[in-house]
Amino acid sequence: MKKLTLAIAAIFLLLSPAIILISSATTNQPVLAASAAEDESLEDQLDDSVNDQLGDLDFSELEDILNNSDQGQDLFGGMSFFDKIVAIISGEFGEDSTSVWQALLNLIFDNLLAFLPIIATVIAVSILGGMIQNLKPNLSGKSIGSVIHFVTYGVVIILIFTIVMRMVSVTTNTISSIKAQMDAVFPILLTMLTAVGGSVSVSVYQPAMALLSSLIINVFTMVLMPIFLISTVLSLVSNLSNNVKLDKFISFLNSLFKWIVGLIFTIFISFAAVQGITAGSIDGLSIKTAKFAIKSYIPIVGSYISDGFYIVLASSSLIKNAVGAAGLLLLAGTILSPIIELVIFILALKLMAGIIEPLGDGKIASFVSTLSKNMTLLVSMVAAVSFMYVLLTGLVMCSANIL
Amino acid sequence: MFSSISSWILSIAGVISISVIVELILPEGSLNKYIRSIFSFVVVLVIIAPLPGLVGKNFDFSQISIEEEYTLQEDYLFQLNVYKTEALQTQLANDIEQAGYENVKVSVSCENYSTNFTITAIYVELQNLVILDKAEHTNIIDIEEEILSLIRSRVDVEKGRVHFER
Repeated sequence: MKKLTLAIAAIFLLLSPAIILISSATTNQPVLAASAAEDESLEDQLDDSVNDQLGDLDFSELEDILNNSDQGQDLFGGMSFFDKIVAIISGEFGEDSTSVWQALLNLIFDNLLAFLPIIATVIAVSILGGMIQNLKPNLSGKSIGSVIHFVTYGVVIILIFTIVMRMVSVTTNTISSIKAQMDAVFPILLTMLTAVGGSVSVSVYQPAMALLSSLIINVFTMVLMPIFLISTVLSLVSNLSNNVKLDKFISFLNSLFKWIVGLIFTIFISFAAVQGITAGSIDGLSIKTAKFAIKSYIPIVGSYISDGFYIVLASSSLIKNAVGAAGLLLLAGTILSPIIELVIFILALKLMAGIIEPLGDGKIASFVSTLSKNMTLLVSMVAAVSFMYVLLTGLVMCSANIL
Repeated sequence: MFSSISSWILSIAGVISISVIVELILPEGSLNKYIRSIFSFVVVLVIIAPLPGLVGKNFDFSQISIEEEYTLQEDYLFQLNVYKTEALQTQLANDIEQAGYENVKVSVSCENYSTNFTITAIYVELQNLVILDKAEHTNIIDIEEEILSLIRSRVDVEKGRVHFER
């Protein structure tokens, strides 16, 4: 649980510099010019250049993804992807944060209400089962008790597993939708990076992005998902019987899962970050030396205004950062709802276990609490994938900025 | 691979379920203890059964390869080259005009269909040259020298790529 909250906090922390980056990128440009009139003309030129360039870019894939995501549309405030990028570039970013909080609260309460009937039924069934066990006549012997346990357990399993299977499909859908977003955003980001002149960065990020969106996503869906399913099924079966216990086997599977996630995560992030930062600084140097041999180091106001070339590059860099920021916003819209749903389900399971334990069956309580531990694996899958995506996008946004 | 894993898990679950049902049906007695231990033994057997098969088996990792190559939006990059040449042309013409030489036409040609912006040649037309008072030189060769150094202070091109037309 602690790791989970840390991961979520880290995602939001990583999103916030992106926002700051964008706002600074948009406000820093006009500072170059000295007087107000020059300031305006520079801004106009920049606007024209940005609009020209935006017209040439193709956002159709991203528009499709946005149209299919309800949460994303909420976060975008009904704007299209293109409009959002224009808004970000002109500096209107965090205007409607209240609507985001409203959407968040709605999500939490909707999920709570959706889980409430199942929680109540499970608690009622297991308490009834426990009471029958306690009140049954002593003569009937042990096997009647086992039958009662078997029946209550079966009912509880059927109720809970309908939700568990829904959660599994929600998680796989989320991961595949994150992959679709990556496949749409990464080509545009790479194009913008090439346009700005970051050829070394492109050669670093291209393989890193391909690795993330094909190999790592495949490992998550084809190795980690089965491990989760196996450990869930085994935890179900292990609590069924009195004498055959599989707890240690389940803990082996869980630690296998955690080790795989941890290794992928650490190796990928360390490589991407170290290489990306180095490549970014090399590119920054070459952009500065190659294109403006002398003049860019002597800030003459008049010369800067006539620097049409500089404006073309600066607007490319603005668009690059805006695309990254809008992509991250779309990601937030995609993962917000499943993560909240999963977290509330985990909390509901823990609550169930707590209520069942004193009155009802000990084994049902232990099954429910094991299941709640297993469900954190799903959250960590979504969190890990989106964290790597956020990190890569953030690195691209930070590299080869011409300021 | 997946079918073998799922059959493995199903057999573990199946053995345990059978053991539970047998436990329910079986009457209390001394035999009970032995049957339980037999079922535990069977569960262990089922769990470790596929492990010996893993030894010495060649795994084929070529299936999970990185197949994706991102295609850049080249139309945009080509269009951007056009913007960059236009910007560079007006900029260079501006520079030259500020040095005191009017009506000089500068045209920059670059590789339009490349993702990187590389300048192939710069043509400077001096036919309609008007020399203003503030100009340093009047001799055409000196003027060419000055324009060349102006251009090269702005753009990193070799000397041979700048052509003058008188």
